[in-house]
Amino acid sequence: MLELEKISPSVHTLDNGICVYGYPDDTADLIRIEFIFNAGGRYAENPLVSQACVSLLTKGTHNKTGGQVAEEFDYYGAYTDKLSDKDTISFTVHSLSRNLDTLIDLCAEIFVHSVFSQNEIDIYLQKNYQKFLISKQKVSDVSRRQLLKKIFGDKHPYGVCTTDEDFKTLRREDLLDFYGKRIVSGLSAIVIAGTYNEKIIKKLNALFGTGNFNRNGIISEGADYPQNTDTAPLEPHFISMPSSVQTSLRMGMLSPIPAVRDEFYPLKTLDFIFGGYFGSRLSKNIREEKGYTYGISSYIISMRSTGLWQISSEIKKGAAEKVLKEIEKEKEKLCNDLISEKELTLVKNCFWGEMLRTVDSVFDKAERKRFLVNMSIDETHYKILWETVNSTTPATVRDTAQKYFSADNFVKIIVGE
Amino acid sequence: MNIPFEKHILSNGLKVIASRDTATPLCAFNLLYDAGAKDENHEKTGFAHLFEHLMFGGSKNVKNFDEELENIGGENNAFTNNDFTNYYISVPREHIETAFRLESDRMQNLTINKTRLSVQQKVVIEEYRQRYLNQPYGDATLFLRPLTFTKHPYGWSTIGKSIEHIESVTVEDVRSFYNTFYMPDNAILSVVGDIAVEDVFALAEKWFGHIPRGGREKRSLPVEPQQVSPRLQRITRNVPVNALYRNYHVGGRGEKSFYVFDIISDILSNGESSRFYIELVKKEQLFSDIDAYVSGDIEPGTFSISGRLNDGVSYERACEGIERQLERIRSESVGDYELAKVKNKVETALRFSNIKVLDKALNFAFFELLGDALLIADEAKKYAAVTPSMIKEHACRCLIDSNCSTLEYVSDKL
Repeated sequence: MLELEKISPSVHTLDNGICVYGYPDDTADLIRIEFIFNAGGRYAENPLVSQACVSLLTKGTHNKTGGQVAEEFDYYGAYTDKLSDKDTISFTVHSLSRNLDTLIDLCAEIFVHSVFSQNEIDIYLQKNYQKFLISKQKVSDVSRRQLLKKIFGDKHPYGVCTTDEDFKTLRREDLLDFYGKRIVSGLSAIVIAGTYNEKIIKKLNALFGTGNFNRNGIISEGADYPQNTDTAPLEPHFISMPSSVQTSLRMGMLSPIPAVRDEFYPLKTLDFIFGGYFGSRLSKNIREEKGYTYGISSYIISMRSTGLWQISSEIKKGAAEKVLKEIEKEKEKLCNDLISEKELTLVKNCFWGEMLRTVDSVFDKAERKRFLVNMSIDETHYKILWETVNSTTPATVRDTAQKYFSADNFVKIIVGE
Repeated sequence: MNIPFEKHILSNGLKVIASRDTATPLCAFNLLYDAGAKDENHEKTGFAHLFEHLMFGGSKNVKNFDEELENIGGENNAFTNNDFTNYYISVPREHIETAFRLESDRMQNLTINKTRLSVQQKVVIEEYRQRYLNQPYGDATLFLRPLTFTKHPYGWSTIGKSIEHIESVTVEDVRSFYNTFYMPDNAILSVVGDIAVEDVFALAEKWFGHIPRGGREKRSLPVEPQQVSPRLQRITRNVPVNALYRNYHVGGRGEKSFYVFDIISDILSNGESSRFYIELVKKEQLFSDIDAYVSGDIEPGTFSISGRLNDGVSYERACEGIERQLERIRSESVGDYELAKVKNKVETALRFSNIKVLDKALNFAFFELLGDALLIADEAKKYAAVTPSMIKEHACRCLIDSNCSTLEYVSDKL
C-alpha cells in the first residue's frame, strides 16, 4: 500500500518552476485546490500581519468589492479555508468540479489585486480582538503561548505571541507590504485533488506559471535551527488562573525535523509509544487507570526550522504534581525497561493502520501535502517512517528514550488555580 | 447522488447495511444503538454518554477492546448525542471480521464492574469540566436547553445536567441500561469497504445472529408543550464579551421542514455573502460573529442563532438587528439567485459528506434510524424542492418571538 507510485502525486511543473501536485479522482466530481505560500508569522514583525493578510484575501480587490468576491465564492458552491501558521499561508477551496474554472480565476484575482481596505481591516480587528480576549481565558491557550515563549524567547518568530499592542499597531501599509512580498510573489506550490483535467493544468500555468509569482516562494530547508539559550528550568513554571476548574499541564522541548533522518524517525517512534495513540503509556496510566484527565497525549509539531515535542493535558484541579510524577515514571520505565515484544508488535500494527488512513482518499493525501512541502521532503517520508517503526527493536526504543529522557529537558508549564 | 447498498434484517431484528467501495484499503464498521440522552432518567442525566465510556472496558472474550483493534491497525471511537449512541471502527479490510467479533462480544457480554465505573466517572467528570465548565461560554448550552425545553428530555445535554448526576450512577443502573438498550433489535450495523455484500451479511449472521432480541418497549417521550410567549434568561460570567443565544422550536430531522430551516440558516449565515454577515457584522457592526443553524435532532428540535456582541452594543439593539433580518425572511420572497447560491453550497457540502468510508457508514446507519437508508439518495432532491414561499411560510410559523428562548450571556467586565 505504501508503494511510492501509489501515494505520490503527479507533478506538473509550471513555466516559472512552481509545482502543481495532482491527486486525480475521476469519480468524485469534487475538487480541492490549495495554494501554498512561503509566508506565515516568521515573515512579519507583528504576528497578526500574516493571519490578517490571509483572512482579508477575500475582502475586496481593485475590481471587486469584498461583497462581490464573497458572492462569487458562495455562488459557485465554494468553501474556503484560510490558514496561517509560523511558516506558511495556505488558501484552500473546496467545491464542485464544474465550477473549478471560474474559481481559479477568482483565486488569481485575489492573489494579485487585493486592496485591504481600512474598513475591512477594522472589522477584522474587532472580531479577532474579541477572539483573542476569549482565548486568554482558556488554560490550554495560555499554557501553549507560555511554552513557546519559554522555549524560543519572545524575539524568535516561533516564540513571539500576539499581544494587545499588536491589535493597536497593525497598519494597512504593513499588510500591503507583506501581501506584495509573500502572496503576490510568494507562491510555493499548488495542490489539486479530485476531478480535473489537462485544461485546468494549462489554465493554472497561464495564470500562475508566469512572471514573478514565485520570486519569494522557494522554500529552503530550515538551517536556522534555533537554540534554546536559557538552560531549561527543572521546576515547572506556574501561571495562576484563579477561577479555573481544571489545570492545563504542558511540557515541551526542541526536537529534530524530518530532514535529520537518523534522529527524527526514531523519536517519532518513541513518541508514538509514549503518548501518540489511545493505548499509549501516558493515556493508559493517566486517563484509563487513574482518571486524572479526559485526555493526555504527546506529539511532535514539525516547523520548518525545528520540531517541538510536546505533552499536553487538561487535568483535575490539584492533580498536577501527581500527573508530573506519573509522567516521570513513564519516562523512567522507557529508559530502564525493554518494551515487551507484545507491546511493540501492537505498536507496529497500530501504526500501520495510521499510515493507511493517512493516505486513504485523494483528499487525505492532498491535505497532508502541505506538511511535506513545508519540510522540503517528498513521499519517501512515509516510507522511511514506516520502515523505521517496523524495524524498531526493544533496544532501539530504550536507547532513544535514554537519549531524550535522561536529562530533564522538558520545559513545564502549569496553568490553573 | 446514489450510493448503492443492500439491506438485510437478521431474525433477531439487527438491521445490517452493506455497501461496497473498492477504492480504499480500509473498511468502515459502524454500529448505532437507538439509545441517547433522551432515554435517560431525568434524575440521572448524562448516563447514556457515561455508558458509552464503559463499552470500552472489555467483555467476556475480549479483555481489552482498544488493544485488540490497535493490534490489527484498527481505529475506533464513539459518540453519544441526545438521540443515539454510535460506535465506529475503521480497519484494514483484511481484518474486518475482528470488528464483528469485538462488537458482537460487547453487545452480549460486557464486563460491568465498580472499578471500571468509578474510573470512567472520573474521566467523564473531567470531560465535563474541560468542555463545559472550563471554557468561556462552555456552559451556555446547559442553560439554554432547559429554557427551551421544559418537559422534553432535549432539556438536558448529553454530558448531563450536573456532575452530581454522573457521580450518582451505580453498577445496577449500568446493568439495567445495558439490558434494555444494547440489544440487536435496537441497533443498526453498516459496513462500507472493499467487501462483498453477501460476505457482510454472512459475517453479521455468524457473529450477531445468535444474540436474542431484547424486545424493548416502544419509546414514549414527554411531549413539549407549545411555547406561547418569549422566554428570557440572563446569566453573568467571567467572560470578556457579551454573547447572545436564541432557540426557536422547529420540527424534527425527518420532516420536510428540516430542509426549509436548513436553507434559511444558510441564507442567514453560511459564508461571507450571507445576510447576517453582510448586514449585522459588516454594515451595522452589531456582532463580531453570528451564526444560525438547525439542530437536526430526530424529535422536534431547534433553529438556533448565536452571536457575540460588539463593544458598546446593547442586547436591545442586537436583538432588533436579528429581528430585522428575520422579518425580511418572513415577509419578502427570497430571490432566485440567492436561493440558487445557497443550494449550490448545500450540494458541495452534501457531496463531501459522502467521500470517506466512515462518513458513508454513519450516514447509512443514521438514515436507517430515521426510517430508511434509502432516504440518503433523496437529500439533494429535498433541498432542491425548497421554494421561496415555503421559506416565508415556515419562518412566519416558527421564527417568531412567541416561539423563542433567549439566553443573554453577560460579561461581568462590561
